[in-house]
Amino acid sequence: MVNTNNDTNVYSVSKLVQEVQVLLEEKFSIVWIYGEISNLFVAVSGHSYFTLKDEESQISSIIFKRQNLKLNFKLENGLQIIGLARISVYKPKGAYQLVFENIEPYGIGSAQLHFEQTKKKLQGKGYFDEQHKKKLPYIPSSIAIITSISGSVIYDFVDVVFRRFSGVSIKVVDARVQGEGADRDIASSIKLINEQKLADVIVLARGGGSIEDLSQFNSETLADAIFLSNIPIVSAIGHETDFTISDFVSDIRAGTPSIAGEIVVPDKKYIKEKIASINSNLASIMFGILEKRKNRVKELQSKLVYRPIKTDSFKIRLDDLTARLSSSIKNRVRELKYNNETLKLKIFKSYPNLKEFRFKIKDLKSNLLFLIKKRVNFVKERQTFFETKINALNPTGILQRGYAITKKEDKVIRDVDEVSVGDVLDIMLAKGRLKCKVEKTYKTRK
Amino acid sequence: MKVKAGGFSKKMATKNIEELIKNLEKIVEMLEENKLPVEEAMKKFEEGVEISKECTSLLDSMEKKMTLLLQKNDKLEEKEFDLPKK
Repeated sequence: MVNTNNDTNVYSVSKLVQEVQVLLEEKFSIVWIYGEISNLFVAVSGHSYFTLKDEESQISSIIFKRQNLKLNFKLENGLQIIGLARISVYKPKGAYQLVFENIEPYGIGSAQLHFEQTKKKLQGKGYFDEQHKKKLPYIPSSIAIITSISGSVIYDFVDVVFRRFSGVSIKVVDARVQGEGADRDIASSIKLINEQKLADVIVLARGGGSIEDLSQFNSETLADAIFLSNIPIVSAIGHETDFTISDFVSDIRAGTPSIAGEIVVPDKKYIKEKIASINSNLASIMFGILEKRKNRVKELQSKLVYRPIKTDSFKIRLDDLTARLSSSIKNRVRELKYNNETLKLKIFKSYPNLKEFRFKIKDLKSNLLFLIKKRVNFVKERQTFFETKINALNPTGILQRGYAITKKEDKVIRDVDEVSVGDVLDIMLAKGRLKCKVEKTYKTRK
Repeated sequence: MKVKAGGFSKKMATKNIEELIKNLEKIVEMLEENKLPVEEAMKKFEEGVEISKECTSLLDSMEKKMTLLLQKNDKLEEKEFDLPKK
């Protein structure tokens, strides 16, 4: 049996572990290492445990909560990282592990990774959904622009806005647009503009820059503020080719500050032209309506003009009837005369009955007279009937009923607009005429 | 609806222009349908002309303005402001 007390080459477990700890922790007090994250586990304490591996080996790793919070991206399984770590030995288990101070994504930049991660997360929350996009006012009364006034951005924006629509107020928030905390400042401005109802559209603008320069606009804090804003937000961040999270959450993305200016206000000249065109449209439609009416009136008037023709036709018809009547009477008389003659002959032939025939002739004569009278009366009645009809249509008949015809220099007056005060008018009555002077005119209201 | 530009705040004015233009378009539509009696059509026409006059005068009555919003004790305060000449 080996004597442990005397043999210095024999270690106790704890002694060996301790020596290994000293050795390792001194030799690898700080080390740069890269590999792939797997078996990631975030404990309740907030510390993250994972295995860092490559094709052949793996090593237990940990990053404490405080260091983890400093990272601007999230650790994920499968992520290639490069980091600064120290080796620490956990004595109770005799195990060693890497304790990371800082980690960066390996291969792509951390800003890019952060962007991708935030975008994915917010997309999942529905922040970019079309249904949340608010409509911009037709003409805003005031526009708030959050930007740095030291750049050319504000000049470009203001130029375009005032050129298009001179009657609008622009409220400028001079903001830091890059560097730690800029996102929080901008978010707070958005919140305050909403609370104080200072504008009816907000423009978020920044000139171009690297992805790191624009990184504040990829912040989740800012995205929240944009999403929660009741006032529509137009984003104009970076160059036309740059896309930030803010652009995705905003209600409209403008490629440049000038485009933002064009989006937020309409061109006043255009509105005026629109109004003018509606106006002329209105006039031409109205003109059309009136024209139609005028044609209708003309049509009715022409029907009135044809009235005499109708009475003419009455006259002709009357003449015709009269002629037919008289000729029928003439025929009847001729017939009767003829009969009379034949009777006479017959009477001469049969003389003895002469007396009897005389009676008969007398009888027939009176009959004949009666018939003629009856016929003539009938014709007379018809004639008076038609005459009264004709008279009713005759202007003198109208005058007889109390209407008067007013003339000015032989022109018949129908509208009060055709005369003016002082004019001498000729008024035709049923009997006689009047010469009158106009003292006042009254327009009849419809 | 009679609107006098002077008596309204700017906010009302801008809101009104949008509405007035909408009204104007409605009137045009009504007249185009040509179902109104002439007297009413005439009234609508006159109303339309009036509205378009109002729009134009409202547009011209609005003045441009620029201010700076400065944060003080959790509030934004408005200050007169002009961009420095470049």
